[in-house]
This record gives sequence, C-alpha cells and structure tokens, in this order.
Amino acid sequence: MKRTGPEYRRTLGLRYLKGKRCKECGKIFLSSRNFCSECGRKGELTRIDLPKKGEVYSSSVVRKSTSDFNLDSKIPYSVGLIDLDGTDFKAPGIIDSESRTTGEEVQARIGLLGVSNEIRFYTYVWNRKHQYHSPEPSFGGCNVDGGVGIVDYGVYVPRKRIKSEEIAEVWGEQVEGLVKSFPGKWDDTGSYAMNSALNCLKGSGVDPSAIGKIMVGSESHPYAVKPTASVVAELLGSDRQCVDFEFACKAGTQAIIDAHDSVKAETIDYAMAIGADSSQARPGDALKYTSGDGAAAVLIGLKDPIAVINGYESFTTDTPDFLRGEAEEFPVHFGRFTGEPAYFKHIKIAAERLMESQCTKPGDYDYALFHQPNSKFPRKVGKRLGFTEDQIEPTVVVDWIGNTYSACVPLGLCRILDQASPGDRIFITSYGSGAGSDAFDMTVTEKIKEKQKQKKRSVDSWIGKEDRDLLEFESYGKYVKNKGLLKD
Amino acid sequence: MKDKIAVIGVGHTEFGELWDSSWIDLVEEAGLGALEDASIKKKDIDKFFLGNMSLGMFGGQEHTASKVFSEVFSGGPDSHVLGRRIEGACSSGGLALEASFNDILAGIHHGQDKIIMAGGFEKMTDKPTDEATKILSAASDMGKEMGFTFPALYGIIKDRYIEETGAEEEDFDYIAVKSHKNASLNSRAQYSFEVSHSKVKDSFKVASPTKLLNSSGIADGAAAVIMTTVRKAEEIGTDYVVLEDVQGVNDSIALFEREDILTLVSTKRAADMVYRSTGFGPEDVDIAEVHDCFSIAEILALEDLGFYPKREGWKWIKKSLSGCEEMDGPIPYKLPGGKNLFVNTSGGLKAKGHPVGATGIAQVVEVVEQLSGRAGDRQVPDAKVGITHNVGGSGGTAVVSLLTKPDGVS
Repeated sequence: MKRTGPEYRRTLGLRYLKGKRCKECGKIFLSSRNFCSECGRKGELTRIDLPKKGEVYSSSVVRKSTSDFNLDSKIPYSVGLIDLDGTDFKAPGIIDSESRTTGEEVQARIGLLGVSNEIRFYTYVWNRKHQYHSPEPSFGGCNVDGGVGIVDYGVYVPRKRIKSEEIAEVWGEQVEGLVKSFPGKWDDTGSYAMNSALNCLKGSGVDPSAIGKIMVGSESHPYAVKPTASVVAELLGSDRQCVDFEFACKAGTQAIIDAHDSVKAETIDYAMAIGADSSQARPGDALKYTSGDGAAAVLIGLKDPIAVINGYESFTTDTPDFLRGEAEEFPVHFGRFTGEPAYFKHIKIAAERLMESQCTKPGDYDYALFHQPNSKFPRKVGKRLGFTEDQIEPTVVVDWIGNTYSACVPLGLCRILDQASPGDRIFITSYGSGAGSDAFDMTVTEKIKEKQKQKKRSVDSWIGKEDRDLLEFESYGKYVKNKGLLKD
Repeated sequence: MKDKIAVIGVGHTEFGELWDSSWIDLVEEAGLGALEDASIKKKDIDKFFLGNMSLGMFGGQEHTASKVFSEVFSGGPDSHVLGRRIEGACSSGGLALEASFNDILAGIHHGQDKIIMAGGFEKMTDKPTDEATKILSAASDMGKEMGFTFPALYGIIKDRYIEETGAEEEDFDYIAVKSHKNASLNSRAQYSFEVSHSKVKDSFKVASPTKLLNSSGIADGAAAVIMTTVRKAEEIGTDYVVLEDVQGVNDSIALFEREDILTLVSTKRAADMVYRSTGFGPEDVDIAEVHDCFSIAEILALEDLGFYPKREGWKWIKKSLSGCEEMDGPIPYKLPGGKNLFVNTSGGLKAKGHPVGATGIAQVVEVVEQLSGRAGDRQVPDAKVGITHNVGGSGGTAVVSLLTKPDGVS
C-alpha cells in the first residue's frame, strides 16, 4: 500500500501529537475532524499540543508485522496506549522497547515510522523515561552581554553503541578501545535533526514562528531532493526560510555562519543551525570504526545570547580527500591524503586567520574545539597550534560516540556550553572534506548560568560519558541491521 | 409463532488453506449445500446477503453479488433474485444475517414470506501472510493505530486484563486446548488436531502477550443459511430452527477511544437487546458460538454476554478447563449458577478456522446443527437455546443472535 503526499500532509498532526479539544466540553481528539463527537456542530475544536509525557496504560510486543512502512524489518517493537500526563486521554503509539513497558513512565521523541513511496513518515515514538545527569550551573560574572550569538542549544545522540572489538572481530582486524554510536530502530538523520531542534527550542522561550531560517548541515540527508530543514520546520511550527547544507563534516558550522550573518543583517530575529548525521561508511572501510550518529542544534539570535560570536574566518580549497559520488551509497577517501594536505592544513590556516583577525593567541581561550574524525587528530592539531590539553579535553566528544560528521563540532560546542562560565572564551575550528575549515571565536555571557540550570540532561549524558547504564552496547549484527546494511 | 424467522437449511465448506478453490467455488459449495439442506431450489430464493470483509483487496473483485448471481443462481426468464455484499470486517457474516432477518420481517408487513440466503465467505490464502495481515489491519483504525497489528490490539487488551485482574498468561492457554479438542470432532475444522497446554504456552509470541496458539489463523471458507418465516417453513415441510432475534451494535473502531478496553460495549448492548426482545437470559443458554479470534476475546465475550461477572471470567475458565487435556470433547464451561455452557463446540475461530467474512454465518450453522441434533460427535445433549456472537475488528461492531429449538422451551 503506497502512501501519498496528501496522506502525508493529512496525518502530520496525528503523527506529531497535535490533538484537538472541544471548546464546549473539553473532550480531546486525535484526528483531523472539525466537530466534537459529543457536542456536534456547536462543539468547535481548537488545535492543542498533546503532552509528550505519560505512562504506558497497556502494551504489546509485536514480533510479526506487515510490510506496511517496512515495519516487518523493525520487529520486535512495542505498541501501546499511553495515558498522557494531565489528561484523561490515551494515545495510541509505538514504544521503542523490545520488552513489556506497561506501567512505566515514557516520553515522546521523534522517530522514523517508515518510508512509503520514498516519503519518510516521521512520528512521535515513546521511550522509557529516566533520571538524567544534568549540567552543573557555573558561577561568576562578566560584562559581555550583547551581540549576535547562541541563545539556546540542544543535542540528540542515539543510545546504541558498538565497540571496535565487535567490528574488528568480523573483519579479522585488531582495533581496540574505540566506541561509536549508531541508529536505534526508529532513527535516521531526519529524526536526529528534529529531536535536536526540539531539545534546543524547548527551554528557549522563543516562539517558533520567530525563527526566520532553519538550516540543516549533513552529508546523510534523508532525501537527495527535498530539504531536511523543511521537515524540521514543520515540526517546530516555523514556516519561513529553510535550507540544507552539505560540505562534508563542516556543513554544521557553515549553518552557524549563515545563521549569524542573517541575524546580524537584521533580516530575521532568530536562525537555527543544525548539524546532523548518520555517518556513512563502506562496511570494509577503516571508517567503520569511527563513523557515528548524532545531531546538535543551536539557535542564533540577538536577544540574551549565552555566547556571543565575536568573529569567524574560513579557508577553502579544491582538495578531493574524501567524497561521495551522486547516488553512491558510501563515501570514498584517499588514505594518507586525509591528514596532511587536508585536515591539518585547512584547520591550521583557518585557525591562524581567526587569531590574526581577532588579535588573539591560544592562551586567550578557555576551550579549543576542533573537528574530531578520530581521537588523535583534534589533540594533535590543537597542540600544533599551541593549545593545551586543558583547553582541548573538555571539548572532545569523539571518544564516546565516534565521528558524527556534520554534528561533531556542533556537539562539541554544546558540550562546552554545558560547562562554561561567564566570560569564558571559546575557540573552534571545524573541517570538512572537499575541503574547508570554519573557525569561530566566541565569548560566554552571564546568561549561561540560567541556561545551564534549565537543562535537564547534559551533553555528557547524551554522549554517554555520564549515565553509562543507559547505553545499549550491541553486536555487529544489530549494528548492520539498524544501519540499514542488511539487504533482504 | 408463524411470524417468527426460521432457519431451514445450512451449508458450510471445509475451512482451511483451500488452494484449489476460488472464492466463488466456495460460495457455490456453501450456497448449494444450504439449498439442498432446505429442500428448495435456486429459483425459490428472493434475496441473498453475503458477508465479506475484503474481496476487493484479497481477490481484486468487486460487484460481488452479480458475480455470485452469474455463477450460482444463473437465473432464467423468471429470475427475480437480488443480492448484495455486506461489509463489517470480521462481523460481515453477522451483518448479513441481521440484514436477512430484517428483510424477512419487513416482508411479513407486506404479506410476503420471503426466502433469503444469508451467506459469508473469505478467500484469504491467495495473498502472502504479511499482505493478508495488512489487509486485516484495515479492520482497525489504520490512520491512527499505525504499526498496530490485530494480534497486537488484542495483546494490548490482554496485557491490561492481566494488569487489572491478576490473571496469569497461561490461564488463557486452556481456551486453545479446549477449542482444539472440540475441533478434533469437527471434520470441517482447519485445525482438527489436539494441542497440549504446554504447547500453547510455549508457542511463538506473535504480539506478546498474544501467542501464536492463542490466535486464529488465516483461512478460506464459506457458509450459508436459508431463512424464511416459520409459516413458510411449515408450508415447505422442512425442519427448522427458530432465529429469535439478531442485533448488531457499533462502537468506536479505535481501542484508545474507549472508556474501558476490557469491555466490548458493542457486544454488551447487542446481547442486552437480544435478551430483552426474546425474554431469554444468559441462564437459559445451552450453547454459544463466540468470537474467539484470540483467547482473550473468548473471555471478554463470555463476560460481555453476561455469563460471567466482568473481570472474573478467567477464574471460571481456569476452574472449568484445568485438566481439560484429559477430558473428552465437547468440553463445557461451568457457570456461576452451576449450569454447563458449551462454548465453541465447532472449535471456534481458533481451531475451526476464521475466514473472516464467513465466520458470522458459520457460527449460526453450528448452533443450528446442535439445536437440531445433527452435530455428530460433538453433539451437546438436550441443547435448546443457543447464541452466536460475531465481532468486527476489536469490537467496533458486534452482532449477537439467539436461536431456539422449535418444540423446546418458548
């Protein structure tokens, strides 16, 4: 049964937990209906956002499903009725669990229900609720408070992990000590981008309709033609500019530059920049040990920034170190070429340009964040530029989730924001194959304290540095299945 | 009495994977069987109503009645028959019965004694299992319950039942043992073999807590009954059973829109209406063919039809069926008043088979055969009052009928 565009549009509200409530009697509906079943035509319905938290009222673990939305590839999965918090309404939904969840507290996250007619149907999927590690609010003060900068941030990293030993065993290799994230059953780049955007907007107090531009940087956009950003925008409730970026691993920072410029030009009030990837790697490629999954979103604005962007610089050349051809499934890269003429050179030039234009030296910064294709490169390039371990270590995310391509530097930035104190200065240089680097200079403001207090879950929890018991370490078989590498 | 409705003939194909028969072959076999049983001719039929869930999706054929007319009735110059297909998911057969019943009643008002064929059929095995599952899920609220399969919907009901009552999963498994035991006495049954409790208990968890052997399978089959007035039946001089009443009621199609997912309001209301109009109550019933598409459905049916208090059916079933592996069929349930109630002597949907559109009529065939003493090895002694209970979806429709042996109670 192939689904179509009209059906996709019509079921958006249903999939995004947008209900309707009767103005007369208060009854809640989960449908596109226009009148109350009890009050008839006088029972006019208003749109409401249904709660995203609840308790599983009853559930079933499905082990035999249909080809509809390829759900038979997702078994076992759960379905159930969720008693939504603060209502007497039970919503039907998919629960991301392979075991019974009845009676448990759950929260909704966006997931990919399935693909039909090449259209990706996203929907809220229910997940077990946990107590998470949260950021420690910082102290102190500073006098930086104005300028275009980051007003909020949010991340999303799936909880699936695989150790390099699991992969190495299958390929007869010996690679020890690496860990990377990979997709859960209902994940793809689109769902990562959407969840990071929701997490970013949640405590921002910003009306989504005030976001004038949403940009998603990725090299694994779900559609070749149709922006991921439009899917994010519809979910958030923003309907203005949307565009996708691709510049290998630096598409996310390019989005930040663009967001900064648009806000600075005062053409829009807010812009959202997202880096999201479900990183692709040919199964036999060395990248299989490092390509990870995740997303980070930053909201850029002029009002009450938590970190001001002091300036940026870029450097670009035509260097074919790593690329993926049109309609090719996996990227290719050129071995030793990757390091020297590519990563190190581009980062060095962009970083030096920035310090020159900002009249700074490495010692002026509290954090130094570099693109992290592996554990070694960022530490090496940092030291070469004159940064110390103390500046680099708090910015590292690769050790827990692998290289999340476009999401890597945005994730590192969010990790810094979780820990930074007012007045801290942040140095960032990304790298994207092809090749180019973006370097940023930012200063953390007074507002960071409030933001850190607000965040219920730290980036350290998302990446698995904290809350390690929530991680799900899986076999190579599960990895291959969830990564979509299994062919029927 | 003369204005009551009589069932004068029944026809029933084998249920199962009938790969050599097309849907029309099945309809013909059941239809002609019913005509022969009623000792009447094709031309005597005034109307026919055929219950069928999804010939369009299962077989790509619509305009069903005309096709049936061409192949089964094939008229002649004085042909006057009009048929139609009736759809209500798994209760399509029950709805055909209801339509036939009321059409005859309407005829009485016009001084006619119509003879109507009520049939039901489904041809499901022409599609691969996953596609058949998808087609069946059209009986649920497809747009809202995305990713839900039918076993999962009943799994959700069962999970809640367990949560609220303290019943254990394996308590439900006795029902399947009993149904298979009964089906082993029924030559038309799809699964006419016995299963042990441990085999049911260890069977594959299709949508836990629903297991494979708690579930009815996918089957082909057709059934038909010939109905008319008692006056006409006596005029023809054929044996008959009285169809005292048939009532059907709808409820919301989606589970989440119901107040209590452990009650099929549709069943309860239809049963109440039937009991009220006929003057019979649950205590008068000897045999019942209930809609046991899953084991949990049989418990809910017995509760909603008034045989057991709500949320206590499992205790009685457990009490009645513990040790049933050793008993000879048909195996009765004990009712709170001490009476025996025989449920699904045919083997039920579980073991006789569930070609969805045929089920509502096939249930009537079983009750008619029991009340007329023609049920062979599975004959219940002295059965005088029987009911049928046919459900569409997870309770979005329910049809309940009550039949009596003419010279019995009343």
